[in-house]
Amino acid sequence: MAKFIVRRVFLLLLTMVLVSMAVFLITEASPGNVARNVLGAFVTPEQEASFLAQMGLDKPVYIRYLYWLIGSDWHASRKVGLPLKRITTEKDFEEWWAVREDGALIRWKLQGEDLIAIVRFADGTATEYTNNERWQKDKAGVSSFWGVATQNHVVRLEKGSDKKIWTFVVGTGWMETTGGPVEYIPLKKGFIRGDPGLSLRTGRPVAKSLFIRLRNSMVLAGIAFVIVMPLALFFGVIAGLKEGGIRDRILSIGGMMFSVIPEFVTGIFLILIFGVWLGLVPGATVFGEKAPWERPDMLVLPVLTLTLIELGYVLRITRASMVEVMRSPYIRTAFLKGLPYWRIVLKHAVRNALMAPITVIMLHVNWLMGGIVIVEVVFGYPGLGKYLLESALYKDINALEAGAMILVIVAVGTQLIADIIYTFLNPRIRYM
Amino acid sequence: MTVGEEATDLSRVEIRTGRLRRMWEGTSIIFASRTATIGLIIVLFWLTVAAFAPLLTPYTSLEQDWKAPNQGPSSAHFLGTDELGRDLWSRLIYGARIVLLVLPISEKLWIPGGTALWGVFAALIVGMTLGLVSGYYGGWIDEIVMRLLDAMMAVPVILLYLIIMTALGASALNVVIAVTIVGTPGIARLVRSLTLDIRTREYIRASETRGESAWYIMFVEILPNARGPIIVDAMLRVGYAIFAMGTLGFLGLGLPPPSPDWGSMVAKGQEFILAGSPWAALWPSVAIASLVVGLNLLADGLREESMRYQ
Repeated sequence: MAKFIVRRVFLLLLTMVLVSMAVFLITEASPGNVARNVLGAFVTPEQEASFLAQMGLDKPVYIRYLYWLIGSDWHASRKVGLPLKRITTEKDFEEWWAVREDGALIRWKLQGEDLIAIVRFADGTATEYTNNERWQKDKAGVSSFWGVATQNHVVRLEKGSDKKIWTFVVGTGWMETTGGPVEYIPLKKGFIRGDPGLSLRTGRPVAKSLFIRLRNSMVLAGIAFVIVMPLALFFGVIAGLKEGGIRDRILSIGGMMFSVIPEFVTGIFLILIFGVWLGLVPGATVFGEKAPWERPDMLVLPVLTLTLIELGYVLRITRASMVEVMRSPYIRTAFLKGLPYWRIVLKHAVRNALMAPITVIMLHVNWLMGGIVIVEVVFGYPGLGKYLLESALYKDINALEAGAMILVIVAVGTQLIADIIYTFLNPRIRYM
Repeated sequence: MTVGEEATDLSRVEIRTGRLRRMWEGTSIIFASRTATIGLIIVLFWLTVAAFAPLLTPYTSLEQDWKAPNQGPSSAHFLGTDELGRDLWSRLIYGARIVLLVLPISEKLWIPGGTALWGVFAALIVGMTLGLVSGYYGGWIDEIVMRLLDAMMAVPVILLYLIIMTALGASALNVVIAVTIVGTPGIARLVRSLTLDIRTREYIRASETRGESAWYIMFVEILPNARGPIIVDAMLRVGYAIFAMGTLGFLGLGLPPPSPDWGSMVAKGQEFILAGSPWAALWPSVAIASLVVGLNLLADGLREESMRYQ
């Protein structure tokens, strides 16, 4: 068993590595680029190049993948010659600083020809002083310096450089400065150390917005799950009691219809019926800053849509399993013994019939996630699926990777759990 | 001599009627089940309107009537118009063509066989080959193919669609590729399990003794004997493919704009629901729902009937 779990966890890791690489490569190979998406169509090539350099997107794809996976601070720290440290300021911003030989936090900026060092104290105040002795002359006589800049980059500054840079500030526009850094390494800790990086689209850390989106999706899926399971198992058992009976036909054809109609079609029908013609509940979700459970009326239709789709699926599985059990010899024996009908159904049949659905449902999570993405798009629900779609369309690689990894973990993880549950439910099965 | 000729003629006739009867029996399975009959009627309806689309409407799918945008059903426009005044009925039936009858590769080049059908067909080819090879050869080939397909199946379908379509761009051919990639593992698994069963039969042993090549055995001996479950599965998969096409279109990843793609029609029409004109979103939704349900009814009925004969 332990060996089996280890093997499956290994498979999970392998799948994650493969998917993350595939996402990187495919995003790389596909047409369009993120600079145009962020900056609009009317940027000059210089502005675009400057933006790409600042985001670290001018580096070759394998370096970007490595930076994304295991972070860039170790590499940058070697260039600077000092250890680097990430701190969270009082205003909840994340800042990178170099740690000076005496333990103080330090950053640098360029002022004309002079290198200015900024030292930060524990209470958040800072002092500045001229720090020209850190310039290093190379063979060509150019003075340059690797240091931490104010925008969470490690940069190479050159003395007397007249390189123009453009900084794009979301909401404000372009800031043009001269004498900027020549090279950039954006600092991040890397995915396996728990830092998925900055979203290129919003400029905010992916982890923060992803957490809220994930929570919203979990609320949606959780409520739907709690409603679906008892209903579907109940109706599935009812339908499977007498195969081919009128109740069976109605329930299984109804279930089939709901489970094969695409989610967005069901969603549209529900919006039209309950949102527009009956006017009972809103046909879209607008939460603003609020959490989903603060506006339960807006949750009604998304949950209902998901419920209908899943209800049909689970119902059909339960029914099939129940039909099989009702045909089996031990049930016939129970009937022949003259046991009361309901006692046979409840004590003998249902227990065994519910085993298959529980594991199949876990395997179905893969499809369920697709359903959630669509439902979120239909209702404008701010969940993980919508985030993923927007990131994919925007080529926001950090956000896309993080979302994709979560989906893979959920999908493979639930399959593992399903297998483990199955061994407990059915002790005849042994995994080697 | 004349007698002999007559005899061969007779036997030929017999063979022919035998074949006809077999075909008739094949189709009569459908009519034996009420579910399958209803499904067949729905599917035939869409096939017919798709085939005769130009005869069934005075408009084309792109013709705009800027004086009458977002209208409900009227005598001029049977099902109403969309936000650009395009006739919804025309767009619907030309959309059915793209799903069921033609694959628009570029603006000039259209090849017969609908987008959904091509997707399933390509997935069948790839999946059947993989399934046959890994089931028949077994050993390390089987191990490698199955582990790779396992990894593919572990990736959420929606993620696969998203990545493939954003990478390839929105076009009918790319929808086919996406449907193929997503559909292949399931078909390969099914065919592999069927192959494992059939491989042990005696006629396979016989043809191996005859010295037939492995490819002959796989495609001429094994495949035809595995066709029953594959056909039912393929029918369900056409349903999935239409489902997927609609979903991709709805997400804006399907066929590029002016084409009458049902999914993107719903997505566009949804914007105008709250403005009081639900028709543009309603009709394509009804179309997708009915076609997918029809295919599933057909497949379900067929499966039930064929199980009864066994």
